[in-house]
Amino acid sequence: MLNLLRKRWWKYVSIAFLLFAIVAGMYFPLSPGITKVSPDKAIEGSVLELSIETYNTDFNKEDEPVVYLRGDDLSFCADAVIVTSPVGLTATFILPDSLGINGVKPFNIIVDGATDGTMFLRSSLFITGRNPSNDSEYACAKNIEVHASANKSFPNRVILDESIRNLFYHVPLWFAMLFLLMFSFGSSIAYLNSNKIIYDVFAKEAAFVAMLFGALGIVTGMTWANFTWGTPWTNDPKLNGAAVGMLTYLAYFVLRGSLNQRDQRAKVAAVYGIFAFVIYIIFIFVLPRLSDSLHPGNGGNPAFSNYDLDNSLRPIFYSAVIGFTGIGFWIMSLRIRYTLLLDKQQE
Amino acid sequence: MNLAQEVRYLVAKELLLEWRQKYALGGIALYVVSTVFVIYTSLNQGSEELAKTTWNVLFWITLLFTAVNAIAKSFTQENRERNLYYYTLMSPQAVILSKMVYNAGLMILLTVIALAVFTVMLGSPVGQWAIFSVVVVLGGLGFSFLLSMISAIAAKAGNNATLMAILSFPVILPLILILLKLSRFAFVSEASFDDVSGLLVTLLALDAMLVALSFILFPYLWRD
Repeated sequence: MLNLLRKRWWKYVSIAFLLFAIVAGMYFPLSPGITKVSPDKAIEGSVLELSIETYNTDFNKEDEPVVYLRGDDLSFCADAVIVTSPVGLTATFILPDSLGINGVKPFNIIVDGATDGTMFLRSSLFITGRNPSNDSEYACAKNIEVHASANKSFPNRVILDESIRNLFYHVPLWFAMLFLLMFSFGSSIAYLNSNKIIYDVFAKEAAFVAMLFGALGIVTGMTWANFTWGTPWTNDPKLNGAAVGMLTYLAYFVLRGSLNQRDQRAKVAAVYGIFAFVIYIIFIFVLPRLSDSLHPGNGGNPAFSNYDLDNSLRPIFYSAVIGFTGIGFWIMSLRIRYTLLLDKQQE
Repeated sequence: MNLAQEVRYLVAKELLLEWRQKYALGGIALYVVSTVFVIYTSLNQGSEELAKTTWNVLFWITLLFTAVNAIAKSFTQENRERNLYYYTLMSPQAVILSKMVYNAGLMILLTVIALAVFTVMLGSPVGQWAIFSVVVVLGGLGFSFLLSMISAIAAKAGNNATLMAILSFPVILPLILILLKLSRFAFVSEASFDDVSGLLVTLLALDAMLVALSFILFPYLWRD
């Protein structure tokens, strides 16, 4: 094991993967999207002049982007669309008199650009009905179709916006932490079986680096949560799980510190390490059953794999996981060698 | 001597020791009563009715602290030499099992005391006593299994009270969360066992796993 840790090839591999993840994660633009629509209210039968602000689009004066509104089974095309800037449009709608809207109905705004692909903003316009009966005939003159942006890009999600790139930092840091904790767990078992002090060094340093990555995971997560959920800390099972993991392993280090005799420290720490890891894993699996999470994939929130353009994220995400895990093990191997040298010096 | 016999002898020894030092048991019972009394006086003397969630949290937190205090002494009340003597006589599994069995009995007794005092002083929101008693018993078992093992670990490190608390609180959280959730079901008088079967199975599995883990790990810890 120590020989493998000294080998160089896997360190180069993880640097390459990490560099790829960082560069590719910053290189690709976000796919075009709608950021703002005003006004957000309209009344049936009126002339509606919508000004639409978009993000990462490149409209030309010659382009004629198709703009339409859609709410359930109703859709309207804009009667006139004027490109005001590369990221701005003005669309004029002449709303029919009686659409059968009872009360207020939300509409999605969809913009279909030639090169920028189809973008939409959910429930961004509310139309108040005046006449609950539906007797007007209305058909969209232009063909409505959905197509993707011509350039490779990351999904543009409302609320997430550019922060979707944090997917390549926050989540891989947690993955790396879990891998390191597993390694620490395995080393603890190996120590109890063999009584070789080197496994104790492995277990301790792996847990130490795991805590370092856990702290980074919490910091990146808090930044992300502050941007998307509006607060750095919420009562979310995944956040609590992370906090419990940190507390457990901090206690592990206090336990190590309070034992002086070396073999006994190794043994007691290994027993607590195994005990705590098993319960921690159960905690991670049990807790989601008890309450909902704001995280993707829980409590009705879509997971990243559900996003239509996830294939642009996936390879970069996995390289970041490999890269961060490799770097973690590298830091760990340096700390192990340092500890072993210190021991040698003391003897 | 087989394992069951060894455990029986060791539990009998624990009971005898407890009987000889009655003040210890009395002390921990008084601990429960005083804690509840502090809560009662702090809560504006019960003039307002306590919210169910608050009652639930206070009840289980009181039990948690009582359990930590009651079980912390498991491996330190007898001196090291006498422990060594037991080791020559008994298998380590018998030692940890006997501690768990004894502590489970102690915890159930303390839970009953805590529940009685809580009900008298702060009222009780429990609507389904059948479910609540099952939850309380399984919770007491879980506390005693987990804390017996943690106290064995803490005893190796000089057994200071801080260490016992910081080692046990993070690992006891999953248990506490399941218990809080289950108790909330027991507050609803229309609740039936069908509603909570999933959670009860999880709790049982957690208890079983704690026993298994301690059973496997304790021999390593015990060997000096």
